[in-house]
Amino acid sequence: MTRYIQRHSLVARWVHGIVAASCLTLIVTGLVLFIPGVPEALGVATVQLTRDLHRVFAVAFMAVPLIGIAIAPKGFVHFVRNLFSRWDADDRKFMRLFPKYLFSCKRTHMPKQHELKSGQRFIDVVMIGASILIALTGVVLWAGGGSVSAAVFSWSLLLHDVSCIVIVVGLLGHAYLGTGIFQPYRGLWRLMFGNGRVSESDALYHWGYWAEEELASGRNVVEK
Amino acid sequence: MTQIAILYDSSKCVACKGCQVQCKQWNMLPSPLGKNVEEFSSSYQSMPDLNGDTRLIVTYDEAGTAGGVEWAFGRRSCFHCSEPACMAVCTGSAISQLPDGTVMQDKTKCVGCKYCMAACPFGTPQCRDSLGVADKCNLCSDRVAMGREPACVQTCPAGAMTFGPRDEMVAAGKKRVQALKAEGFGKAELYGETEMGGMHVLHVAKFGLEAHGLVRNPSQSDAVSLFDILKPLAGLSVAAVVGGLAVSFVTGIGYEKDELHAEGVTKEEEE
Repeated sequence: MTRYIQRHSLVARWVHGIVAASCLTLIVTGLVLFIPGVPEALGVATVQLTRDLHRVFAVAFMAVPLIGIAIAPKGFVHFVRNLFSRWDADDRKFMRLFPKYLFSCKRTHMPKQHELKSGQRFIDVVMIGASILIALTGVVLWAGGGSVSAAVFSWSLLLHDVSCIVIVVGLLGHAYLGTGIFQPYRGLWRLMFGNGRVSESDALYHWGYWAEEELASGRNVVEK
Repeated sequence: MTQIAILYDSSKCVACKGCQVQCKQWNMLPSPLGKNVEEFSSSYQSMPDLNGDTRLIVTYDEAGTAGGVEWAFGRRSCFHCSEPACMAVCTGSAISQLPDGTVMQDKTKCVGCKYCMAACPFGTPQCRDSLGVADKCNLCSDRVAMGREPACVQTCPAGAMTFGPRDEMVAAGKKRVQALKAEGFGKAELYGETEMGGMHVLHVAKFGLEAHGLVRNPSQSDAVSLFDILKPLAGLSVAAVVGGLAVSFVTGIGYEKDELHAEGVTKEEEE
């Protein structure tokens, strides 16, 4: 019998999944206008279609997290509390060791972590901040050049592109770890794209303090 | 190839708007036909500003002079800059520059992103709502290719517009400015000689640039200039991250996880 801890709720998984799919679609459709030569190669009709798709998925990207907050406000509060919890010595050590861990995971022992690793807390704040900025500037761009001044439009476009770059760079790391391409994280994709459960062994390895609390309380523990 | 230019002399312009009408006719641009369709703007200007169906308007400003208030007419249209900001940001490569200096806009390639509208320091490209694309003056490149003058130049009854090789237009403009100054119009200036790398629509501003609504020292906005470095920077950043993660993956080959239990003892140690 193996013990599992239910780490992510159904709401969290659905919100994450829809936002992830929207984000990827937004990146692809946005790159059509960003990469020189691509619009000309695709033709006006295709570019217009990608622009329409960009707006449709932008609505999902903005609305679904808000719907998630409305459905599960306690879960949102819990998430935000974790995100901004005070860093302890293990959190700081984790960040110091992480570059070495990335390139020599076989020889690097990482300190125990709480429910959200310090590295994840850091990148989540950056990516959520960039997502809010990209949404706000996106609304300005959607409203169009006639509704705002040329200067506001130009700076909104620049900030929109900068926040996209931040999101793409963050997403590459997030996906590398979260999908388990990075060997120590193998199998963790199930947490968001499966049943949301983590094995006792993986939980102890990655989130030691949190796993010990959960196993002791038994509240979210499933045996299979 | 010889650079060409239009020289507009505000001191000769009578603001008949013949140029405005001829531009519409030659380019088959529509106009509102209903009575009092346009909201009154307390000005003689036919349109408050350029729009998607109007590439050229005559502007009516007033200048205070020693003799009282005088009209300071202007010709507002694309200036055909040598360093066009619109071309720098165009995503669909719809805006290009001909060898003679004309900044062309190809509606068949325009995707309607409106970046050109925001980038232009003069607010010249406008969105043609009926087609969902940008529109602006093309210096009647089709007529010029046939050895003719732009439609606006041909129709001007006051001779306020001339067309020809740019260096000749610059020389004529400077000469006219000197003549105006000699007549007592001390603020007369030539606009377009060096602005935006040198423009292909030059203005003799009888009462100075500001009186005619012209932008002094126009420049590409900082936001637009930053785009030049943003795209290569984006590419490099992504490439660096992907490269780094690839190295990380390679160094992790052969990694094996220990099986942990709540007591902190591995399965192997238990056995």
